[in-house]
Amino acid sequence: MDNIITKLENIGVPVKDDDRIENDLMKHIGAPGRGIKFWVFVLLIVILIGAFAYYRQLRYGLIVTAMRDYTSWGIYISNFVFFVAVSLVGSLVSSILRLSKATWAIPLNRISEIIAVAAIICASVTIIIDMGRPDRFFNIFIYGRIQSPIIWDVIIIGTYLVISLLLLFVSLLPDIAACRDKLRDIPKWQRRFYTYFAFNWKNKPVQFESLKKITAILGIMVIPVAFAIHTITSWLFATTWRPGWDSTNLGPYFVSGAFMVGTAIIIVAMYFIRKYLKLNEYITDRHFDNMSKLLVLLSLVYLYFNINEYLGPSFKMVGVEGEHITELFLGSYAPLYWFVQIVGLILPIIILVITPLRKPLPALIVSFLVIIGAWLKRFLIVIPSLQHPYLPIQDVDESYLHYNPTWEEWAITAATFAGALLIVTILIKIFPVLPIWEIKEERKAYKPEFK
Amino acid sequence: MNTIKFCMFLACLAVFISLKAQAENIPATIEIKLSEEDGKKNITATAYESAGDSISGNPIPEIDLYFYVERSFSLLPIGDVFNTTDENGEVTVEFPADLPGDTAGNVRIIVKIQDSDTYMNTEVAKTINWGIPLNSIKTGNGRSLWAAGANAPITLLLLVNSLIAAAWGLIFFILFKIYKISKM
Repeated sequence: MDNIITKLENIGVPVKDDDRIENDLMKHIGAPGRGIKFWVFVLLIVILIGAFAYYRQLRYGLIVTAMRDYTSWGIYISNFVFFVAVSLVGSLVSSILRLSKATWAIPLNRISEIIAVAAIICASVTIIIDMGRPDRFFNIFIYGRIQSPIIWDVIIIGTYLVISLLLLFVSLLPDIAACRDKLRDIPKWQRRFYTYFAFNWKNKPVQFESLKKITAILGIMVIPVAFAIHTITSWLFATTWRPGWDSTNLGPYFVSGAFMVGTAIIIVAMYFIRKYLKLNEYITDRHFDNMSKLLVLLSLVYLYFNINEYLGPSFKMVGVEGEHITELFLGSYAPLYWFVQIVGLILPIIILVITPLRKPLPALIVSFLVIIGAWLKRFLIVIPSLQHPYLPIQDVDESYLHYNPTWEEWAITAATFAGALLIVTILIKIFPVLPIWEIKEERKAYKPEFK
Repeated sequence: MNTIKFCMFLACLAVFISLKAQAENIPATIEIKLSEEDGKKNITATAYESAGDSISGNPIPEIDLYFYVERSFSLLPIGDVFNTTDENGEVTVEFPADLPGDTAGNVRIIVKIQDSDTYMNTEVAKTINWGIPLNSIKTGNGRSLWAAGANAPITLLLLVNSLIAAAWGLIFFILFKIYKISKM
């Protein structure tokens, strides 16, 4: 018996009865404590400052940003690409790992789905923020050209947002019903909310059967859509004639980078959720070990695409393409470029390949490095290329030649991050953060006497 | 007494400045002659001093004239860097043989006196069919990746709309299944 228990614990399957599991995973739902109130307050302050900066942008126009004729995509678009990349994590964990029968990842499904939803919402908002006239947003649909990758991007982002919401909602149904039936000390509005969104769920076997079919369809469907969303985002660049973007490598380069940063974000989320919701028995060291291995694998794939992306142009050093490469390797962007490649990519591989370092704290630190590197990487993909147009730069204002984001741009960007964190916080606070019904099922699969 | 002297000085100064300004802004006129010789297309411009609308007949020697051809967004300079008139006020510039015109080959040639110390800014223009007729508009009317939205390639329309229909068809199917779950 002890052997079975050890084996189950090792693979992250808790050896507890149903009531204990429900109690453990729903105890954080209810009236918010002082810590969470303070956290939400800080996020709201950051969002308010961003809202004020956006008011100034609406009032005075995009002139309040540092974007000009050459650098017409600034940190807003870098941030947009980053959020799109993060949103791919939903498909990685709750679809690819699920379909590959990696049962150890079941407790991470909901975390990844929540992060995916928050990221894709913020990506959509960031695109509108980047528009000089957001009131003309619907003109994209009225006057849009189907030949434009921007239209493809708008369509695929909308589709991915809906699929991500469905993926999260469908897997939540039995757990919302559990909240409706089991939680007692919650306000009336919250009970009504659970009753409404439980969609009359009664834990009937026929309902579970239907739910599993829907989850399987969504799980398969989300993979091509996730690949498409980031490939099309890469085509926004690849179809624009600028040095550094004229590459057939850009699609897989973006997708592999997205999976890498998504995995790092899951590790960070795992760490804090485990610590503050006291879920050590559900998110175990084994999860950190496995996710760290996955991060190493994805980092190696991304490193491979990085070599492909830079080796060819740096070997030939042709014209403006050569100038662009020189600017990255030795010029004003060199410190940032080498930080991203060494600290944000190579160092994490070296650290996490060592078994004793695949523990929660080192994995958290490495994941932070990967996330910072990934954001800066998007900056390096967008900005230096725009500053090297193929047409000569003549008789332009000094401000056109450089790009130093203004406080408004930083404040708005920080607000989008705060917004993403707020969405994650709210969803974690009102729903079980780990999929209770799936954990119970997995436990029963390993230990039939619990059935 | 000093005040009167000062006022007279100011009045004289004003008259002097006004006369100097007039002297430095003498009206001018430009005449353009367009001719073809041995397959070469020449633009000959003659600059005259003028009084009002009439030409006084005095040619302006040693003045730089600027030759342009009007393009979609700006004026294209042609000729040499400096095109200075001779003692008869004349200067000749060759028209480039490879400039596109409109669909009939028409181009608008502009000759200017600009930023002269002595003469007013002056501009004359003439239209002639010396350009290469533009035929590429025909391609713009067809279905292509670079055409207007209404002229998108049929294959692209089919592909994109099929993908959208497939994805959203599945989404609506799933929404229907979720609705069915609520009725079980």
